[in-house]
Amino acid sequence: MTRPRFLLIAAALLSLTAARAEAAESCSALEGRLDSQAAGLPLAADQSGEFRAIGDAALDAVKTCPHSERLWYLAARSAEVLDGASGGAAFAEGGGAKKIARQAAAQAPRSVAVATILARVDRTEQAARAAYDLDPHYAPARRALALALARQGSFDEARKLVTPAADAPDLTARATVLLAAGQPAEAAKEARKALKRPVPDATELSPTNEILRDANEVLGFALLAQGRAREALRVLAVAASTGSLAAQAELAKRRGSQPRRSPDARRP
Amino acid sequence: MSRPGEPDSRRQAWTTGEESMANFDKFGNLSRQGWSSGTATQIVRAGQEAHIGLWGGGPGGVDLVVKSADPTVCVVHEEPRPAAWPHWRHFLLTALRDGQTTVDARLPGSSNSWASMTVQVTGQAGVRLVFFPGERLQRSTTVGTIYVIGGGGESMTAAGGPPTGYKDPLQGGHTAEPTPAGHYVLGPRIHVTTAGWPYSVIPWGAGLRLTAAGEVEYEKLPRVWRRATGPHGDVTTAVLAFKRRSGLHPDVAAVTVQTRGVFVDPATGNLRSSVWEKNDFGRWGWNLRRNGQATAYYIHTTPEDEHATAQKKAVLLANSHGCIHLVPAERDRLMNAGYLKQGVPFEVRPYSETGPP
Repeated sequence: MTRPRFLLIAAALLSLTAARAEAAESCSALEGRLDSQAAGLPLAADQSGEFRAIGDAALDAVKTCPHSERLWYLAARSAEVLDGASGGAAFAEGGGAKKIARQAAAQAPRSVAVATILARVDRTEQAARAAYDLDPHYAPARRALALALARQGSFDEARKLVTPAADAPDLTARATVLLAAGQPAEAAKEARKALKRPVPDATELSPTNEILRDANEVLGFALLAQGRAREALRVLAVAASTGSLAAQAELAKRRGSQPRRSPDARRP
Repeated sequence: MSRPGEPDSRRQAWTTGEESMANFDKFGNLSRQGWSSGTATQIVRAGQEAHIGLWGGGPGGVDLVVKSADPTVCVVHEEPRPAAWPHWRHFLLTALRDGQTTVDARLPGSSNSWASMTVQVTGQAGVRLVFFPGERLQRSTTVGTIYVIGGGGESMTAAGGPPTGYKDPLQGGHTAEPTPAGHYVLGPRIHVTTAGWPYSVIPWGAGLRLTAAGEVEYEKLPRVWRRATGPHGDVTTAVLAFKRRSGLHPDVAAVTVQTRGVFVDPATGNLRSSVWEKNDFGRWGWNLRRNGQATAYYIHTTPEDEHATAQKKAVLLANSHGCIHLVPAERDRLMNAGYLKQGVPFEVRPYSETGPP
């Protein structure tokens, strides 16, 4: 190889290395900026707006940093959180929560956090088991598998995954499993325990009222299953106000079939 | 025809599903003032309201959809069903401006009217705003509309607090509650600030700058700068108080770093933005004043909805903690038309009044 040619190749390699380093640095800066925004999430009055901002920024960022597991996690998690709340409208441009979660899983196949999001939006045992197998100690993956198993009637295995339940997310998952297994009284008991300190799992980026929503939802349906309709409807109203679509649907159904008592019937 | 509210054989037939029919009329002690049963016409003065009943339904007892043909003249909301009057539904007619419109009851998804009435709105009314917060569920948000009375029939979408209140223990002791029904008057248009929400310590649009010591200052008033970051900065102090109210025991050093990270990119040491646009109350807010006193409730936008509007993206209203969230573009439209301003009466109706579809 001639000396000038060698120098040209060396210069090109140096330039490529520098570009890669620069890209890595800017990806790390992007991750830092979004993590900083995510850390401030509980301080914002409009958390769904914050999720939208974080998700939009993360989806933009993965265009330049397609290998960033963290950015994919933030994009997929924001899309998942807002999927129900916005009826898919928040991230429609990105293809919706399921598509974003699948893209994230394809780009970050070893990320248990991303795989868990995919498991939750896919609602299949296969996806949940894949996430769990990546890291059985990752609590959100363990809960996702428990719920997937309960949905298909494998209650014993599901129960084992959420026993013992100590924190609010595990208690809520356990309540959901028990309700699916036809044990509404036990489910209500666990949901009430969760509501004593309804703090979401810190390992995931979550709306602060997530446990209020989920535990009230399962408690409401557990009470309904026990024939305690009046109490159940009060609880479901809180679940509905915190964003539970199932509670909203149940309340709407009952409003349609059961006329509400109206003091206005005697006025004006 | 039998007297309203008293079943006859035809009405009994409807209940068994043999026949389907419906008609507007008065039941119980609904006021008959301005009502002509013969022509099914309700005369009502602009700014006033009237109540009307709908008896019956569609085939099989299906609920008919009741709607005003011209909602700039009069809007229709459904009151809770009167338990004492089976087969009757109770509707509220709110007269917005002079004119005439029909109100029809149609089968869902059909253009055939099963019952029809006329509403004649007469006279003029002073400008005031009326908000029905419980009109409909839009995705998971309970959304309503603010109507202009005494204008040209304008309206704008808005979201109040959730229909059922709750306390989120991690949100600095704040509760989320339904916007209280009642009569208010709009306060002056302001950039809302409060230490209760850390991001709202700084007014929307305030300038930000870095001091020589690397701390962030914000322009609270023209040429009046205050420290935002650092252990004693206004925002740091608000974050610490917020976390303590959330039952946490925050580490001052960690909160100081976290607060700085809101403003300064640690990778570059530069400000993320030279203007503050994260105030929770958006660009403008109007207090809902009651009996001459300020209340805890404002009508305002949210920062994300402001940004979505600026980027020409869809605005996704969310329920508030009790305030009334507006769509920024609609806020601007009603503000420019002179309806959103200090001194305008503002009424919040109960969440139990639903529709129009």
